[in-house]
Amino acid sequence: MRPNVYLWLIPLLLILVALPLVFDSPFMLRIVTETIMWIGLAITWDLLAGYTGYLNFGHAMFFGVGAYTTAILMKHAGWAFILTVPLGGLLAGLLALVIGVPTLRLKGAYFAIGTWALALAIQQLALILDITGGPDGMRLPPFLNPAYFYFWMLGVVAGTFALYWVLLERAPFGLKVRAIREDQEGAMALGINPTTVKVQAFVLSAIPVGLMGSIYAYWITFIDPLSALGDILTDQAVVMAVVGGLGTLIGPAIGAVIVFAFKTMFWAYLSDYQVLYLIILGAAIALTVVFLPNGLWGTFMGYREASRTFKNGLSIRPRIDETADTEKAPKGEPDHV
Amino acid sequence: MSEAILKIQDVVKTFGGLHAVNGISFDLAEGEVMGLIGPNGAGKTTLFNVISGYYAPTKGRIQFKGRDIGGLTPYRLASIGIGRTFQVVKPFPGLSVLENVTIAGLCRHPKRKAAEKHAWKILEFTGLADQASKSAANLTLAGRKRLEIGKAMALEPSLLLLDEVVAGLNPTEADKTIELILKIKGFGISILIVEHIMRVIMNISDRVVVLNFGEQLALGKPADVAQDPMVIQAYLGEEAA
Repeated sequence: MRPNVYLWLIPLLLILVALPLVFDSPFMLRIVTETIMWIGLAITWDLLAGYTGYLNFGHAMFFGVGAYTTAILMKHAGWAFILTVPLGGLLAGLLALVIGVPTLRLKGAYFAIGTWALALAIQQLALILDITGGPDGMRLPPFLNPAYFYFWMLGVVAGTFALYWVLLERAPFGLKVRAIREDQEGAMALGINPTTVKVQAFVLSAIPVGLMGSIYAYWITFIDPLSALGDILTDQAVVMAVVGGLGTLIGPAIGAVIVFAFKTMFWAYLSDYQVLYLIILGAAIALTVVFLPNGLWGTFMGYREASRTFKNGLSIRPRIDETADTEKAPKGEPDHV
Repeated sequence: MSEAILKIQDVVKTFGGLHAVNGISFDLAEGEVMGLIGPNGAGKTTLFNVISGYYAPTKGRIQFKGRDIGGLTPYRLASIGIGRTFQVVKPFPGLSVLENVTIAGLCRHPKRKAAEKHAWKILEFTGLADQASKSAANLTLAGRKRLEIGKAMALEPSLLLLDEVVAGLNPTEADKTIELILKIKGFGISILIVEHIMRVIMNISDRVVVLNFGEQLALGKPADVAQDPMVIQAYLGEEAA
């Protein structure tokens, strides 16, 4: 049943590849590009949170590292964009490695606090340094070709998705991270070195975000500490992953589409009530956590599983038969006095 | 019986001022089953945690196959052939029974396919094969204890540490688990087993170590140890001795 779900993604990818060729609306293309970017941010956040069980509240720092790498190298060193992108990813990965080795030994909330504080520190750094332009941010040479950035973003996110699918659903790595999430001590007894696996997961979740940050900087042509390093970036990725369903690949992707569509609609039609957006976002997260702890996708899959169990008739079978009988009796046969 | 696979010499583990394990020494021969008994709080589980690397010994030497292993991490020990179960079972509840065992199988078979194949063998062996796709959280206690043994066995260990795998089971389930342990013994795997149920210890152990308040009270054949006045006193009190 699982392969089926993922097979649906191949035609979807083909449609996405053909999209800029068939319709020519820069505005729509921009929206789709950004949606794809949010899918990328949500699934990378979920690799560590949903699969490995570690909440990273500093996801934005990897995005900012990628964005500022591209901006600085293109502006101050005259590098070609295409060369700065891999470097953005690499530096984000290195940052994750340096942060991960000490902090991933921490458990539970301490890791969340640590990453949150580090992201703030990096944002402050970008605010005071000269090379990053401080609070004024950086302006990059404009390159107005929406389709170009669309394909970059699609390539990075689709590549990340495919890589994650192989690693998490097919390779041993996925089992190891889940073992750590479920019970770290128990995982150790089975020969798994938790720190190594967690650092690998952290680096794997950071590199694509760095790449996306790089692309974002040249695409939007303007970055500042708020747009490239602000905690709203992290928060939105968190909401998307939670609403969609943690610990799955499809869930956060669906969550990203829904939340971003909502955000776009909201800003398009209700921009006078901007304050409301954050309130609604907060309410959405609270309601999801309370009523749909597995997110939309997790809940949907849960129903599917349950209905299959019904059909195949496992342990629940006798009970259904019972209720079916009691319901039938009054209707069918008149009554036997 | 051939040479010792596990040598424990004067092992001490303290927590602050508390000597949880104090000067334990014994050898475990290859293929031998050693029972580890003692009243509650005697330090049995602490000793297990020291041998399996969860605690570093404060003092003393632990040798496995002639090699010093004191202070090595649990995952290193697992990879060199020490498998253990936990008294409070540690299944991965969100994963299926098969996935649980496959994770352990990865230790010897790094490819997922091979590990899964290996896991099926273990599931057949432990009698869990028909529950393979069940979530581990939905197993009965007996099933979870069996899963613990299965996971440890998937490591293909040469030394198996079993921490109360029979306790809490009804007599039928207990008999099945004892049968399973005897089968494992038949493979020539050395076993160190903690158990409160004397029937189990007396049935399957070649020798028994008795702990009390962290100290080693007695060591010998099960029948002899059961006669030891010191042991009887520790279990039943002054008057019975």
